[in-house]
Amino acid sequence: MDKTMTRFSRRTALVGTATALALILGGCSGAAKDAGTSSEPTGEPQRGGELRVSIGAEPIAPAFDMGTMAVTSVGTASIATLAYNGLVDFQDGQPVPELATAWKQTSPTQYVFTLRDGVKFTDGTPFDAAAVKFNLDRLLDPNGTGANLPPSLESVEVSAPNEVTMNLSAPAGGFVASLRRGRVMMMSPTAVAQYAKTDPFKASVGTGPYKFEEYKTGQYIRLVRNDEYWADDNYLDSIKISILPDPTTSMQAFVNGELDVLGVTPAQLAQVESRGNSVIKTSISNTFNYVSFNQSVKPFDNVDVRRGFSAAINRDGIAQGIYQSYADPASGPLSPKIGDAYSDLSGLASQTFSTDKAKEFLKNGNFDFGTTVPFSTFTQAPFSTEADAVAEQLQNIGVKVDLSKEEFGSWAQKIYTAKNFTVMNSGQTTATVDPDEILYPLFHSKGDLNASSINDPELDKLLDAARGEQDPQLRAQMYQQASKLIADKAYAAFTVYPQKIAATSPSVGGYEFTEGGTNPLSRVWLAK
Amino acid sequence: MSVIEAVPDYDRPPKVREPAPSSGRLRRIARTLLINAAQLGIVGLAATFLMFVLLRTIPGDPARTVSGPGGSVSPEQIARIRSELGLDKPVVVQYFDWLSAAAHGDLGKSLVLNDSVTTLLSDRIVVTLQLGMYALAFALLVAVPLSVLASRFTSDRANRSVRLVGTLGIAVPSFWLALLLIIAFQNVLPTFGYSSISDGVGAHFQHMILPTIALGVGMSTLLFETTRASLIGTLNSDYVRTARSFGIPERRVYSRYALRNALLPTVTIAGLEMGALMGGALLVENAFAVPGMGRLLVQSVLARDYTVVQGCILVLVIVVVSVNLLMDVVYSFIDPRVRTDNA
Amino acid sequence: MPESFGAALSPSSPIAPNTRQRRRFMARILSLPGQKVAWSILFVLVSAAVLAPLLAPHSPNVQDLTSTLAPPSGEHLLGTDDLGRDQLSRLLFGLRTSLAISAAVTFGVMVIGLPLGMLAGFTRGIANTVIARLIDVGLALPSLLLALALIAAMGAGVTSTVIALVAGYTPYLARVTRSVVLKIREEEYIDSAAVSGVPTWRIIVRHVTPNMIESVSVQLTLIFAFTVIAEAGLSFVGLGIQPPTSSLGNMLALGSTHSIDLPLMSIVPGCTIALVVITLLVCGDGLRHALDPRSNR
Repeated sequence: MDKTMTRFSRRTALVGTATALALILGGCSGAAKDAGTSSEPTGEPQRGGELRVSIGAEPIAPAFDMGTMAVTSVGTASIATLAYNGLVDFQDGQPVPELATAWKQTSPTQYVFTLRDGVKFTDGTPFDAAAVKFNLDRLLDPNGTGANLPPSLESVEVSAPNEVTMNLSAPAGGFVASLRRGRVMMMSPTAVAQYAKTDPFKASVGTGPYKFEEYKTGQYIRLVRNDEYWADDNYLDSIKISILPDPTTSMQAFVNGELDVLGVTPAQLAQVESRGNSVIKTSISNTFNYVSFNQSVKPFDNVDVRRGFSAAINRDGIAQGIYQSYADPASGPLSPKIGDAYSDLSGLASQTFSTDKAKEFLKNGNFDFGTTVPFSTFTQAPFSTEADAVAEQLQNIGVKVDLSKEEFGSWAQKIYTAKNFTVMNSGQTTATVDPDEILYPLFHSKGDLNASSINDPELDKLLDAARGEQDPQLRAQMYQQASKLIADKAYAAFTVYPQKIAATSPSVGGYEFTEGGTNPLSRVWLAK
Repeated sequence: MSVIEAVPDYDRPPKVREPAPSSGRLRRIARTLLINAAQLGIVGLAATFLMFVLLRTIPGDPARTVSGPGGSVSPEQIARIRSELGLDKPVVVQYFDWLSAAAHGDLGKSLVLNDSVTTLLSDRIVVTLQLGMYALAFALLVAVPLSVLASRFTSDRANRSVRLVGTLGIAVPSFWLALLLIIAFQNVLPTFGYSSISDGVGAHFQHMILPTIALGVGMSTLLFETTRASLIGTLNSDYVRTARSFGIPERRVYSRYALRNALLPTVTIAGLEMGALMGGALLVENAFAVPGMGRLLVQSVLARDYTVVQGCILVLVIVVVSVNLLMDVVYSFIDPRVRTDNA
Repeated sequence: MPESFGAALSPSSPIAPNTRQRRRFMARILSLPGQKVAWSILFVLVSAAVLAPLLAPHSPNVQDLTSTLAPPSGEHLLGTDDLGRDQLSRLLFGLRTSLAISAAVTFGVMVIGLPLGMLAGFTRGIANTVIARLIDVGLALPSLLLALALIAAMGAGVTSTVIALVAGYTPYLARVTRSVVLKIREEEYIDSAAVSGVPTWRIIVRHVTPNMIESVSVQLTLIFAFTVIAEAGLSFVGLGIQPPTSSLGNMLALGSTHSIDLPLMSIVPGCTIALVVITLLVCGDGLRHALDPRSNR
């Protein structure tokens, strides 16, 4: 009798626990499943309120000093656009005035910008031509670590208190676009001179709609409204950006109503809908994901081997399975959003899924199926999930793959610094508006992000010429040619054009994805 | 990550020694403590040196974290950043530079984050210590009264039920428990974040309740089992029986005789578990986005933020030494018959 | 105390390597209440792990991008994950991975920790102090720190996880071993044996080892159980076993990200972890009771 009692009590304990857990979880999700989504507030924007959002990674120091490499960190630069402006902004495929009210191209290699009057940085320093020169000189400084230098920029002169003249070393078609907010931003010279070396956060003074007020490392960054802003579309009193590295926590926080906006992956949409009243916003942009092959490692210097690997990738499957169709299959580096430079490359065998063709390519390339190919990726969704899918698809055509995963920092150093890899996958996630910004860094032999040792003289010539071409039609055609070359020679295997997805609470109005990289929160307002 | 040390077999009475004269006893305790402190200190320093070297052998360059991984940063610029950060000197020199600065209270500046190491550490250690203390307090508050209650039932079945509860408390991973707690208390308690006491006691505790429970449950079941077993043993021992036979009321038997001795293993395990608490705190800190040392450590190792990691290790070593010494003190006062340098 | 030594010295000690003794030993364990259930569950779990390739309805890594995150169905009894892989198969193979890692870690800890602890117990003077303090510091530095450094150096995966966990748990075993050896060292009969000229190694083998087996084997069972949880913790921070290899830990970590819409994805691995750990601990208890007949717990 003693034994039966024990069995009963143990089993009861286990079953009871499982039931209790199931009840808790089931009950909660059941209760919250009302309507799936609702809609945004309408009417005139209202002023006031604190917006609560999150980011997944801690910004590095110098976090918001846009004269340093920090500007290339996508998350950081996007937050920075809440506090800074650029000379121009970008809308509907065109640069529009921001801190510069007008500009003219006085010669193929010279531009003159007229600056907006009466603008001040939040520390009182006036915004003028000297300030513009100061900021751009920082990028030009060979000893500095500035990035996003506008193409071919050689020097900047103050031609009048509110006028700046920029001299180029060669013509550049995308020059004005490269000076946009999100890419090159204006910081207060006084603050930078005083604080940049010792306390980068204090140096982060701009002219933007909000200003940095507080940064508690590990916890949050808070911005407050800039009451002296030169425009009036900064509606919020403050914005609190909590640092939440764990996606489960941020999802829970959003569902509990502790966050107003959340960036989500497609796989998380079902959970967002359990909040019952969230608004889903999506946007297609110029970003793409890809698999790249290190051409300094045999046999990836052979074009047919690369084509074979590329043809093994089931792009439709990835777009549907991983992205729940919130992505389009890609066959080239330029998405339809880029405008005239886009061409439909889905006919290329090197970027189309076909296991037979893939094997054929590999046979032509004399690929040795006995070797194991190292595939390096990093532990962040959805890239690591894509890597899993691609590795599996490669194995389906008989290729032996050794997939290794590291956290992003180590991976980035391995790939870009040490160039110690064979196959890797990544995504081009910066907000880009000009084909030069997309193609040059990755595929030009002198490109910053060209970790795969791509060195194609014909491609280089094309990219250099396109960069300098002034006629938009000709330029677009050149980029079409360049992308076709890149896709056909499988310098990368393009997988999908992912959409950006954000979930917002129904009281959030004015959330707009932007093309140029300006933070979608910059014109947001809260309905009471 | 915690391990139960095999509960001491209380049936085996501790070695009886001649009680030493009081003044000599204090002096002996002090002497032993000093020797222990010195030993631990030396080993602790060795540990910091080891970690110093280990960090610099891991592939990955903090200069790259600062400058960004892109290829546009030239080798000369990297070299310049490295020398600014002091990374171009020989390792031993770097270590002694660091050590001498540390002796003056200057732990350097974080290579990656926007703060000095001292600020970072002091902010974060406060949080982790609070979390640890609350968890320990929670564990004791739950375990001790329950074990007093449960010590009345000594049947086999009772023993097994207790054991089952104990294993359950340990078997559920703390981060999963954290998630379950968040779900269970959604809309009642905040999901994430931290609010310091100076910003409002109410908000502080609101943010700390769930992390405390998530961290403390495992330890509370452990302490519950241990204390109960120890209490049962003590209650059956000779001197308690003697006390009872003298007619001393049960309440006093418990509080004056039984509990004091029964708490010995409790203290031991609580002390041993401090290290495990740090590791467990990390997972809980991650789940609740609490800005503690655990999270700082993970972030910093991954970002190769040498200065911060070094600072953390120094703090850890100091904590280890202090806890060890504290335990020795408590031990020697609770039971003067136990030798203070016994394992 | 003398009784236990009588037992140890006699040829029919409980751990004599003799089938009849072993069977009697096992029978003694099973006769304790609750042990039959626990050991049968353990048997089922270990068999499931060992026989996973035969039992799993699908291959655990096969992806089906047309049915990702699917709820349970006839085809996939526990649904699919974010790449359409069958959860039941991944669970079985994950159990296999986790148990294998725990076994490897336990073995490693034993191989390094035992000699270390015995060395710490037998030596005297400075050597004793140094090793003892090393163990103390090793105990206190969170094993996670060492795990982080190793994983940052070697990349995440099976090897680095095993090494990291071995480094983390060895101090515990060493410490216990050392304290047992210290206790035994104080017994008079050891001194008398030493005085009468019995060589040290023989003392170790005949007298120390039998008495150590109880504490040590209990510790090892505990370490085995805790490794399962430790691996889960590492996977939670993204540093443990990486997909596509499935482990109970990374299944729980991944499942947690869907706790709202697909609670089963986290409940199943979570409960499995709990079940494995509880079973191991209860079996360990049985082992302890059987080895120490005077135990009244």
